[in-house]
Amino acid sequence: MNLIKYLTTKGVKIPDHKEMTRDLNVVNIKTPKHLYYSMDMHIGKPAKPVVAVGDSVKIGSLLGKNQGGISANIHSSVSGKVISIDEDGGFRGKCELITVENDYKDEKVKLKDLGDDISIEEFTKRLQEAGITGKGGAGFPTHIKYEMEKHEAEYLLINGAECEPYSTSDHRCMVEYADEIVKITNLIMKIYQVDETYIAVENQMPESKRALNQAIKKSHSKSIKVYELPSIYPQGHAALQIDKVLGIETKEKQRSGDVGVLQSNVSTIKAIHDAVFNNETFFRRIITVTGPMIKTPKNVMARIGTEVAHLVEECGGFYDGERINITGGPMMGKSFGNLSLSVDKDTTTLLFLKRHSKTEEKACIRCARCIDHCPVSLQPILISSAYRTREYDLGITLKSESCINCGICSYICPSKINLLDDIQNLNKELEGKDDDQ
Amino acid sequence: MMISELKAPFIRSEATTHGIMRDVLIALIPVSAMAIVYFGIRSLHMIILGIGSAVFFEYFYQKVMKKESTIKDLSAAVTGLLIALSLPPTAPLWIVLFGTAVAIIFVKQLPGGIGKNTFNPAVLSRVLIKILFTPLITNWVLPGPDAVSAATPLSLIGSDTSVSALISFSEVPSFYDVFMGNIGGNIGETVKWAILLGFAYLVIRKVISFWVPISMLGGLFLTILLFGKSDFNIALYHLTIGTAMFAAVFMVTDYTSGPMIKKARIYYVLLIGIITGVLRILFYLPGGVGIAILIMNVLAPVLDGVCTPRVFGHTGRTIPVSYVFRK
Repeated sequence: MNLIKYLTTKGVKIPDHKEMTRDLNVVNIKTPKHLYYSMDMHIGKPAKPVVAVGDSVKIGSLLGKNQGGISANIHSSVSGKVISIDEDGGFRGKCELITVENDYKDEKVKLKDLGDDISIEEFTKRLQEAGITGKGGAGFPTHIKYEMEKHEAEYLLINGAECEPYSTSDHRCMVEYADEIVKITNLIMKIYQVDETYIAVENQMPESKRALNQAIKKSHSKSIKVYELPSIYPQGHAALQIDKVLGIETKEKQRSGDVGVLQSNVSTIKAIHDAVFNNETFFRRIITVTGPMIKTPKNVMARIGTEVAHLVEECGGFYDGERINITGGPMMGKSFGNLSLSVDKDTTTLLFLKRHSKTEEKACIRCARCIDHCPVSLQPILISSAYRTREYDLGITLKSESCINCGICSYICPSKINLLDDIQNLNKELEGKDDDQ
Repeated sequence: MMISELKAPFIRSEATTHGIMRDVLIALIPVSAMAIVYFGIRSLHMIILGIGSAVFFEYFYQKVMKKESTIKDLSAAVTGLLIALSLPPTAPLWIVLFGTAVAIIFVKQLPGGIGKNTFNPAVLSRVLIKILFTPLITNWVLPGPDAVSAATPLSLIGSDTSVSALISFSEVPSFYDVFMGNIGGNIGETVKWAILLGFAYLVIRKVISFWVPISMLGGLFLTILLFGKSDFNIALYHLTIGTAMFAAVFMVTDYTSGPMIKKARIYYVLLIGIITGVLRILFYLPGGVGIAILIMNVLAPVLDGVCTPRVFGHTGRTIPVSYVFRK
């Protein structure tokens, strides 16, 4: 362990409120009558519908097909009938939306068995068939990542650091599926000939660490190690985590694969397990439904395509009062107004916060807390004032495009300046300006 | 509902400008209380006048200029209190008024208010008072009901005689007396343990960094050792007798007039310590702390430019100094 890096971790302690759902087992909930699948559930090209209205489908039936390039398959998560295909909104915006009516028979179509000796090609093909995308929040198609990195991987780094406050879905996944995670990890290491694997967890979540260590012991694996990260936000960020755990800094415009690291979120690893060993497609996931406005916060196993309103109902409904609905965590999540949106493959958390009156912005007192705490060593207040004085070129000098959008600067500012907003707006202005590579 | 306008982060820390200034005021309670205990009710008058007039000047200026009032953020109160505490008990009350007027109106508000000033308001007005009205404010008295007039402790600093030689003649107070505040000086600066209490509070509340005051005193200490016959006692007296400790905790830690980068802040205070030492030793100039702070106030942006951190994933680290000069 790199002690100096551990001690000089930049970031900030944020009240995490994980106690609301940390110790709650993942529960199955009643599946809704109707499920809605937006063809835009991942980064890249939306999938293309391959069913027609009236078609019967089962769990695992292909609804939307991978469009090639960066794209992913989308499968039905219930058995029943396709009742409509139209344009409508999803969490990522307007797209084709397939509605399936549930017949509650839960019939499944399975992928074919892969056998014992799996090659890299078979493995990545399986990820593609199963429609697996990153479950941590970015939604990058997993098969592409594993294909790109097939020759370069030296390390496997599994991200179990769920640094956003309130979120506990990855934590529950590790606690309840530790054996599965270790089993598939051993297989991936064999397929990719990787000798070292680290599973990064936060030190405030001892239960997941214990579960993983037990599972590792049981599997007699000597090359999987659980790496404890300090519970400082943002430990879950991919590049920062590689730097912290392996001491490798991902340079500008590099990806984790370029530095020899195969990196996945623990929940994604669990989905890979189900695809490889259970021949299942990616049709459900753990979602933390939480926040002060929801009556009974829960970790639920939800089918992809379940309406938010249905989950809210299953969790006891809302308390009265003004509310903000957020998908993801309070630091980097997105707010949404429409409860008829349905969960997609990277919905980690549905958070319902009490809405406070807007905090008024005051003058900067140059306390430099934003600079002290920026995990990538930017100077947020300087970027913000460059944006406000419309000196966009200064944004380049100040490297504003290296911002990881973690939100610490806005969070910590005693003058309540919307620093992240300014940085994002400046980056929008800069976009396209240096698109000459 | 305008919900689409809501953007991450959806939660904000509890920290506010008001809260930070309130913490500074709380940290100043021990020294203020001891000022009243040691120098009598007059200190209380000075403190009330300092705070009251500073807040009034800020309110008045913003009223006249039709600006939004910022007196609620307590920053004016902090400035007023600092000015009162850095004057001797014999200072005429109008000097307090003069000090707060200069600090609030000229140093703080004219450049644009909180966060916009180049100089530390309390320090600049303190130095100006020193230059303009020296006889009035260097008339030291020892604390206590008798208020005997005493040798100015700062003149010891300026004197060429070895302090350790003087101790035997009981002309210099013992370290115990210095620590307990049984010496003459400005009303808030004599009781060292009270200053240390304030220091501890500010560090625990994370308002200031532990290393900032320590580095300034370290810089001063080493400079005196280097130029002052390597006498440990003299160096220690330099830290404890005058304004140095008070300034290290409450003056050089001012956010606005100092650098923003962590490393730059350490260089900044080290240099303040070193310049103070040089002024005291080479020019026999007591009160060098204030001048050192003002010099470094001007140079703070340069340090920021030099110490700009390397951004994650990048190799270069330079940023134009001209840029950091703007506030």
